[in-house]
Amino acid sequence: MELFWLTLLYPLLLFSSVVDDPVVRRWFGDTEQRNLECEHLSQQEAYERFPVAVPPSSPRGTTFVERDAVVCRPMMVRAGLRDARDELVLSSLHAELPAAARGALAAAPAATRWFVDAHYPDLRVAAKVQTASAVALRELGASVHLQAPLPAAGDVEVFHSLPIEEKLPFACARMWREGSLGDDDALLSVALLRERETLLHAGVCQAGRWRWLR
Amino acid sequence: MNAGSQGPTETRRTPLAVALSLLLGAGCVVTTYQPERGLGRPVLVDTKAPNLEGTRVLVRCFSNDELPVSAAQQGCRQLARAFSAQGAVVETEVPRPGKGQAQSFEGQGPELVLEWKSRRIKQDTFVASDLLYCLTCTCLPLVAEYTFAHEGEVRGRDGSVLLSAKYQARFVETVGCASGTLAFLLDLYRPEEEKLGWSTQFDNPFANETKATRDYSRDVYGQLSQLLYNAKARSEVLGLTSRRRPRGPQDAAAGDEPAASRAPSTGSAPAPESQTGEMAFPPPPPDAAAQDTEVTTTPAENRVFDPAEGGPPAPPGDPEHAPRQHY
Repeated sequence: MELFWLTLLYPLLLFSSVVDDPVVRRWFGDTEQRNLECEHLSQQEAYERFPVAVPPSSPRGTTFVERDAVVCRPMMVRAGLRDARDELVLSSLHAELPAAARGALAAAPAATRWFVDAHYPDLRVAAKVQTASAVALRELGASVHLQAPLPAAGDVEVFHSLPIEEKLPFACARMWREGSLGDDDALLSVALLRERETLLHAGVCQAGRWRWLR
Repeated sequence: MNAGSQGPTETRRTPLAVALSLLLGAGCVVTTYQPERGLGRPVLVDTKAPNLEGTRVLVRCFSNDELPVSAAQQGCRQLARAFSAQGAVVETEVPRPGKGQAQSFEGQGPELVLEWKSRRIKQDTFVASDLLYCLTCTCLPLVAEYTFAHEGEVRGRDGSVLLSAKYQARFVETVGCASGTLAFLLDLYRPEEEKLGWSTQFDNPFANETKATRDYSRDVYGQLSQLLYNAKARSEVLGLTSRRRPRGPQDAAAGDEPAASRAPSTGSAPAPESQTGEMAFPPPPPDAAAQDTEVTTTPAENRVFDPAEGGPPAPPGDPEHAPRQHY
C-alpha cells in the first residue's frame, strides 16, 4: 500500500519541480518546444546573464555538486506564423549585418556617403533588411542615406532580365556612369541569391566597381 | 498460518517477481529529445536533392577524450553518405597529431572543408532516483540526462572560414516499468510520427530507432546540409569556386534557381524526411558510438591526416551573446 502511494506521489513531486522543462511536457504531447530557443549554460554563464534567477557558483568550486542551467526563451514569432525562410533570414541579421558593415567600411574611404538597398522576394522583409543594414552602418559611424539611387527607366527593364548575381554589378556600373552614384558615394546591397538559402549576401558598389563581401 | 508470514511458494515468488520486474524495467528506456541552440530551426534544403552536385567536400571529424577515433570515423562516414546523396564528392579524414598530410581529391584539393566537432557537455544521473528505482523494483523511473555540443565550421578553398555554427542536443532517458508503460499507453493515442517509442539499452540514446533518434538525425543532417549549402553559395559568390548551372528541370527543382526568378514561398518549407535505413543514426555522440554498430562501406575511403601546419585563420567573432535586435 505504501508502495502504491509512493508510486503515485513521486512523479507528482518530480514533475512539480520540473514542470517548466520542455522535455517533461513533451511526454504528454506538448510540441511547444519547437517554439522555444533553448541552450545549455554553465552556472557561471547563467548567473552572468540571469543574476536574478540563477545563484552564483560556489567559491568552493564544484567538488561535490555540479550545477548548470538550460535557458529557454519563446521565439519572437511562433513557428509557422511566418515563412520559414523569412524567419531564418531575419533571425540571422543581428549576426550577419554587423560583419557585412565592417567589411563595407573597410572597402571604402572614411568620408564616403553610404546608400543601402536590399533585394529579397518579400518586400516587407526587404524593407526590414534595408533598415537593419543602415542601422549596422550607422552604429559604426558611417553617414547613411536610406533612399538608394534609382536606376534609369530603360535600365530597369534590362535589370529584370538578368539574374541577380549579374544584375548588381551591372547596375553598379550603370549608376556610376549615369551619375546616380558619385565618386564619394558607395552602395551597400544585401541580397538573397538562392531560394533555398538562409543567409543573405552583401556587396559594395564604389566608383563603378562591384565587390562581393560575403 | 499467520497472515503476516509467507509460505514457501510465496517466498519463492518474491525474488522471481523482483528479478522479472528488474529485467523488464531495464528494457524499458524512453528517450526524449530536445534540440537546443539552433538545432531545431527549419531547414530549407531537401536532403535528398542534388544540392551539392559535383562539389568536392572534405569532412574532418575531430576526436577527443570522450570521442574515440573509431567513433569519429563512423561519424565521418555517416556524414559522407548524407552529402554524397546530395551529389557531393566527399572524402573524410580524422585528424591525428603526428601523421603526414596527404593530398585529397587526387591533388585537386577540396572546394569546401567541413570540420565537425562533437563532445558531451553534461551527463547527469540522479542518485535519489537510482535508489528508488532499485527499491521499488523499477516502479519509480531512473532518470538520466545527456547534453551534447556540436560545432560545424566550413572553410573555403583558401582555408578561410565561410560559415560556422554551434548546436546542442539534450536527451533525457527514463528507465523503468512505470515509465515504459506510461509511454506505451500514451503512444496508443498518438499518430505514428509522434509516438515516443522505447529503446532497450540504457546509457545509449541511439541503441534503437525511436522518435528521439529520428528527430535528432533529421535535425543534424538537415542543419549540416543547410550549412554546407549556404557555404557553397558564399564560396561561389566570393569566386572561390565556380557555380555549376542546373542542367535541366530536374536540377532546377533541387532549389538552385535564383531567388528572384521563382515565386516567394508562402508557408514553412517542409522539414526533410528523417534519415532511415543506412542513415538511420546521426553522427554518434561521445561514448554512444563505442557500442557495437554495423560498419557499412562508403564511397570515400577513410584516410588519416594530421592537422594543417600552423594555426588556422581566426574564426569569425562569436556574435551569439551580443545584444540582439529583432526585426
